Amino acid sequence: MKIKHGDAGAYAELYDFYVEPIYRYVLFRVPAKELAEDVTSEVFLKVWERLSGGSEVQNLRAYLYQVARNQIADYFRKDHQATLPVEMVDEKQTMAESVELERQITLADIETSLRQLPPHWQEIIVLVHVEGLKLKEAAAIIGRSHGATRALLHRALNELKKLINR
Amino acid sequence: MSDQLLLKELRSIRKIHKPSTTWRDATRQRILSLAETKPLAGWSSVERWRESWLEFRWRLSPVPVVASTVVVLMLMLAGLPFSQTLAQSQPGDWLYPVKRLEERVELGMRTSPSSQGVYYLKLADRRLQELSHLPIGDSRQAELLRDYNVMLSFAQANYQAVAPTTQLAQIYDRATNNLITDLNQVVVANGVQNAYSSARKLTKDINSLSLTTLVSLHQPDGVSSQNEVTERLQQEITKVEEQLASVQTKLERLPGVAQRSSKVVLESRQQVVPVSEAGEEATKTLAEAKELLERKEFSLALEKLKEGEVITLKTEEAIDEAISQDGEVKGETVDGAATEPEIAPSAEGPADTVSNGATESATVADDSPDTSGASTE
Repeated sequence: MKIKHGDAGAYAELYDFYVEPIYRYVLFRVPAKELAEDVTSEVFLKVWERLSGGSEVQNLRAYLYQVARNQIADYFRKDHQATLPVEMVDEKQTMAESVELERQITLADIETSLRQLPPHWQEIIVLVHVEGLKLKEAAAIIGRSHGATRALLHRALNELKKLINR
Repeated sequence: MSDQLLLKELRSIRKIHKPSTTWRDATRQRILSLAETKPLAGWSSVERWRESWLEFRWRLSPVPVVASTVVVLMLMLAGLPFSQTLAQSQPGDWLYPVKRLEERVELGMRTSPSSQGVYYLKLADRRLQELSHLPIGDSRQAELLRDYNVMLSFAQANYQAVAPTTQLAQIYDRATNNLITDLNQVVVANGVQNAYSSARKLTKDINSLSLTTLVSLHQPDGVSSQNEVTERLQQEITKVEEQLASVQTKLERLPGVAQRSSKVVLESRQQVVPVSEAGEEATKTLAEAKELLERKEFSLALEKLKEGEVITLKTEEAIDEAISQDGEVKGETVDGAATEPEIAPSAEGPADTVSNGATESATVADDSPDTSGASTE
């Protein structure tokens, strides 16, 4: 409600809380880190404009993901040449040093395989298993029924396992 | 790989990918600056009540109910001396969060937009007083300025949400007039200059809004009588005249070439005049405002006053620009001249010009509100 009335402080708190998950969600779906930053900025600016403009939102987290989803779709619509990458930018540098080498390799394998999945499978795995959203919430974001989302997640995980074990 | 291990590893991916701190902070700043300049929607009474209750409940949530009740009772029993201590608490004091909480509760108890708006003005004034007690460069300056802008925006939104009365306009006019004076005395760090400029602009806008209402709604014997309006407009004319005098002093320091080449666009007259003539135009306009005021043509006098103020501001901007350009050019000459320090300043020689130019630029920078935080108004 505070944000609806333009409380910048409240929005800054919201930004601090959600910027990482939204950035990660975008990062998995666009070809470069810089692009993920641009799209994430746009998401938060757009949400501020809508909320301070009086839009009513029931589930803020789901709303943020939906706006992010639309922004990504916009990006691919504008740039028809852009496709989701098979190999993403080398993110190994950003891995925490505390993560052991062997684990890093496993994680890198999982991530590479995840990025090879079709976008909608990749998306549902990221939402539910990386970001920890409930199935119901993920279903609302991707605009499918609860049952269809569960089936989609099941298929996506199976495919991911196949790719990892290949 | 087992299902369980896969899910565990997937969950750990989120610990790896994090946005860079630089980008994160820059985006945060961008959003906050956008928020500061955007006009806000007013609160309805129900929303205000609900918000205050949620805030109050949230603040008390980590505190046991019995203990908090005892504290509240003690505060009530302590009475007036405690209230004064509370009112005087500054950011960083242990009582300061209680003061902010008390403000929220009081705000929640005000139901009409006009009453809320007046209270927002009071809160803006408190933030400004707190700001003036902080040392320059204190990180809390930015936060207080942001709060000041938010409070004032709410005050503006509430003012615009009701049909204004002369009484309300008078309160707003006096309050914002005092805020302008106080703001001009505040000195802020360079890092918060944007927020400071927004605060000055917003305060001036609300003051202008309430003054316009006062003029348009005045009645011969009402709350805002003819004498009061005359006095108020006269005050404003004097302020602009003082500002114009300081602008003309700056103009005298400007070399002849720059005086001739710098132009000022007078939109109200669809004219472009040299900066040296713009000051005269402003003087004429203010004289017209005075004449209209004598004839009790208040609305027309206010229009002329605003026109005179705009010309003055534009002239000042043009002079500042010319001086800074002049300073840059001369700054280059200073670098060039630095290899020949033995050249003594002469009446018309380049070394003299360099010396004067450098002094002028420094003086202007010291006076300028954009560089020092204090105003020349």
